[in-house]
Amino acid sequence: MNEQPVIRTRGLTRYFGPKPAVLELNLEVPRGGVFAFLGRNGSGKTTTIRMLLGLLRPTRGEGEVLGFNTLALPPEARARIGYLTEDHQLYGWMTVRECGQFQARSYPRWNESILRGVLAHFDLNPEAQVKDLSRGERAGLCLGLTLAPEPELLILDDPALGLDPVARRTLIESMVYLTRRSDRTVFFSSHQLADVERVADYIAVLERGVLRACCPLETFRTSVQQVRLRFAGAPPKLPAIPGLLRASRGEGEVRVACMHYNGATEQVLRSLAPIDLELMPISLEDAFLAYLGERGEKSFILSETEGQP
Amino acid sequence: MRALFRKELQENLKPAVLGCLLLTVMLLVQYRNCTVVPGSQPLLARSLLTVTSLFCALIGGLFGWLQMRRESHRDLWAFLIHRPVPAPNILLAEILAGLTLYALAAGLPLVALVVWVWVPGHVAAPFEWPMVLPVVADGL
Repeated sequence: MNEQPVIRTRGLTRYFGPKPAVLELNLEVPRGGVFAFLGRNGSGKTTTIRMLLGLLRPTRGEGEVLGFNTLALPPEARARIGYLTEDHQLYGWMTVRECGQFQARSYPRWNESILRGVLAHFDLNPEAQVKDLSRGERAGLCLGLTLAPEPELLILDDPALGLDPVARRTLIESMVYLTRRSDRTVFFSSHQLADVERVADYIAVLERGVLRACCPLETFRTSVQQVRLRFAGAPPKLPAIPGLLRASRGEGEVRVACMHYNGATEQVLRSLAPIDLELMPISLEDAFLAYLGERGEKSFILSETEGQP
Repeated sequence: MRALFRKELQENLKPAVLGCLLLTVMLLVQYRNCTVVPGSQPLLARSLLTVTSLFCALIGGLFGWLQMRRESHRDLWAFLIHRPVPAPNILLAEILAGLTLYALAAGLPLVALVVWVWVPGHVAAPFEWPMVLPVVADGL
């Protein structure tokens, strides 16, 4: 993170009435790579993205995208930012070809071959009307329109929402294709943790408008560990375990998910006298669910700079 | 800006053409009613002016509403705004397109009526250019 970040927010806050949608968000997205923005429904991801693009005014705080204040993004900055909305909305009366022509006239740099490539990938007929396209086809068209200006920063708001697995895979492949150049950055929000796991380099986790984690994916994955304790009889009552996120009981065993598992944690677990203690692999989805569980969301904040709590 | 202007025109051309036809029919009916009385000038007839003033207000409001409604979806609004075009230019394109559509729907039939009345031999009444002012005022 030595270079200037492509996205930087300081105390970015947005209220809708008395309810905070985003609260004191301090975020830095490094140049290059894929940055996943995670959170449950209503956690403030879309609100954040809309503020980053100057489509929504923050209640307080500020943000910068490509070095420009989000409240005054000049046209030259917008030309460098591709934005794909979650609903893939376009003008229904236009044909696919007309959509391309309409967008091409607005952008100083337009790579028609990219658009054609994406349309071919999604098997889209240029003469088809947008209103007749399926959701997946519309997503493909939107993606093509977003990629054709060869944006430096691509912001995707839950791009895979409602797509079938094939369309989702195609979308992910396109994202990877875009970031083949190291100066390109993809910032995307998603619920599809399998997709995130496949492509993301960094993640940020937002919970009820508050940033709970912002770090490389690998750091997140290694910070949340799952341990299986097996007992000869019924498992004992659990004591206070440092970094405990989630615990589940089975027959003769207890599984605990812990944050920053270390010697102190292991010592407490061994004091329960299990016949076996085994560190188990945990998927990103399980780690994410454990992290945002009732204990996790209140107890830990994980950031690259903070390190261990 | 030209792309946005063309998009707006294409998007709302049908209502504009329909409005143009509707006003033409309404003006024809009023014109016939007015010319029954010899020597009366249709451009000054109260019934015709009432129809034009009501129609112009309604069609103007309709185009404004249509232009806003079509872009009112949050994502479509973002699609319109997030492009390398200054925001004032986007607004200007929308306004110019709205005015052009209004001119087609309301202006064209009114101009046709004025030209018809102005050409000697069509209406058995004197014609002076100031007589056009009430119709122009309705249009504006």
